[in-house]
Amino acid sequence: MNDKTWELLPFWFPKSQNNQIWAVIFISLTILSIDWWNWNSNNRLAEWIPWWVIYLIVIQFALAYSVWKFSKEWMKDE
Amino acid sequence: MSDLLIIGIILAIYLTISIGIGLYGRSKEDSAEDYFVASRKINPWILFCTLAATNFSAFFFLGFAGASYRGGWSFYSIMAMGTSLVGLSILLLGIPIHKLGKEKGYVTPPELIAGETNSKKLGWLYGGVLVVFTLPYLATQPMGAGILLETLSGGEIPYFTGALLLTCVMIIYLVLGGMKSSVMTDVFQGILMFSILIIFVIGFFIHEDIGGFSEAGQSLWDNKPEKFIREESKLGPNDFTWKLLLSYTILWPITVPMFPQLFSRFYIAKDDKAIRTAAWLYPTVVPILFLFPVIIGVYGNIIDFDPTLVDQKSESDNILPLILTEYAPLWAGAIVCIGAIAAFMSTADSQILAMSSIITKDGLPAITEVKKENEKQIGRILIIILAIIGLLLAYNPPDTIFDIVSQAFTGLAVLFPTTVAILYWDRVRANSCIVSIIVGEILVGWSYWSAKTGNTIPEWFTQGFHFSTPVILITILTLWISTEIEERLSNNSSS
Repeated sequence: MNDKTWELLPFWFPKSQNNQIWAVIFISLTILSIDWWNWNSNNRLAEWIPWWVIYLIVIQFALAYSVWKFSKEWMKDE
Repeated sequence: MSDLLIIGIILAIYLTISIGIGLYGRSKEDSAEDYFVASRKINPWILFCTLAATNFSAFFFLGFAGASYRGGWSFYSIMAMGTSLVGLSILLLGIPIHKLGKEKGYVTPPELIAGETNSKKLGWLYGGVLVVFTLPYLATQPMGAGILLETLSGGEIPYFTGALLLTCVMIIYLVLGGMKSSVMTDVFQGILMFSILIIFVIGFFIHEDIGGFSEAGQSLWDNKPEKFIREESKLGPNDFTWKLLLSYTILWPITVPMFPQLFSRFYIAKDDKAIRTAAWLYPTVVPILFLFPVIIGVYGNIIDFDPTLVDQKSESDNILPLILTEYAPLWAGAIVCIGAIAAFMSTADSQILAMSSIITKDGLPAITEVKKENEKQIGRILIIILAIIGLLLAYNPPDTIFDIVSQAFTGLAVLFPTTVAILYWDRVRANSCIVSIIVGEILVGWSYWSAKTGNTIPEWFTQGFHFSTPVILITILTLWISTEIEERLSNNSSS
């Protein structure tokens, strides 16, 4: 797409292909954090903490890792 | 030794250290820029500490525990992922804001907004919204301190006396030191609050009456299994659904960088590396730190408290101090309270300083001439006035900390589309931003009016999501469409 086409895109739309991939990663992690398939689960780790909380912690660490990788390239050359 | 004296001694030691650090950290330079943005020299780890301590407030310490007491583990999912996503917001907004601030000398959020759009009107509107919606959030900090000290002392320190005491100490180090003092005390208070919170949770579970993690878990499962499970109908219709969860997950990363106290911290970073580091550290620590106040609230359910705790929502914000009075010796309880008070103060001082800088640099120049050499002095006077306003708002709070904060958050979230557009969209126009903000705030006013008159927001508007979700979508669409219209109108008139 040329510069004119980019200008017409809404302001929240990621411009480069790399940033579009990052957008997909972050949106996927957000959707995965809703874990709708796991609602009503009553499984617990060592009796006191639900497994779905552990799952959420893992998702958040995946997010932290993604932000770390993303932070190395975002607006680096500007 | 009397209970009051023990609490008084521990509190006095903490407050003296806070004032001491505030005085030690204060700037030797005499410029308004140094007073309000610490000469833009804050390094990565200090920046992360001050961002975290500023954001984790009375809401984090008491509001989380109270809401988890009522709703169980479900509350962790409402808060955790959304707050972790704040790290991404720090990166996406923090870097351009920092760069523009350094390049053009911006000190406050409205300065950047007005400067980048050449519209003072937009700057005033933006600053007005920031101040109006930060004031109720500010009031929750002395509220928290008052609740805590009153409960711990068995009523010997009245609610308002506790709130007043903390406000006075904050005024002292803010007036003397400005941003550098605020940052230095944030680091001390942040480390203190998290260390104490972690020790308290471990201490609670190894207490002989609780018997360890597994025993506590089994006891809670036997008596209140619903506290472990996310069921859509558990708390009543629409109280906990996937739509509500998604709404909050989106709301936090949109709102948090719009807090003036957070926005201003993007200016103080030494370089963009500091912001990059803070961005990934944020989601690294949030998943674990958020567990602690939630655990306190959830496991407060295994203790037989006064049943009014369940009936009266605002009373359940007391759960942490109530557990303390039940299970900890007074001196240990007082130390935990110090951790919580550190959370209140580290947020409130930053809020007051940010609002003071906005009024000094953006508000007052609109109505009178403000000389550069007087800015620092005016900022100091405003700090005292704003602290008193926060205290007065906390005098007779009508809602729970969570309810107050949710309302304030939506009001600030309305500014997010405008901020993103100004940072990333070349076509943005000031009038479109003004229309978008006004439309958003009218909707927030409608929500407030509905809540006050006992009416509910109609289902056709929310579609089951939290009220903030359609409001944010409408402000984005308004900004986008009004830009298109404005552009076409100006093209037509020029041709």
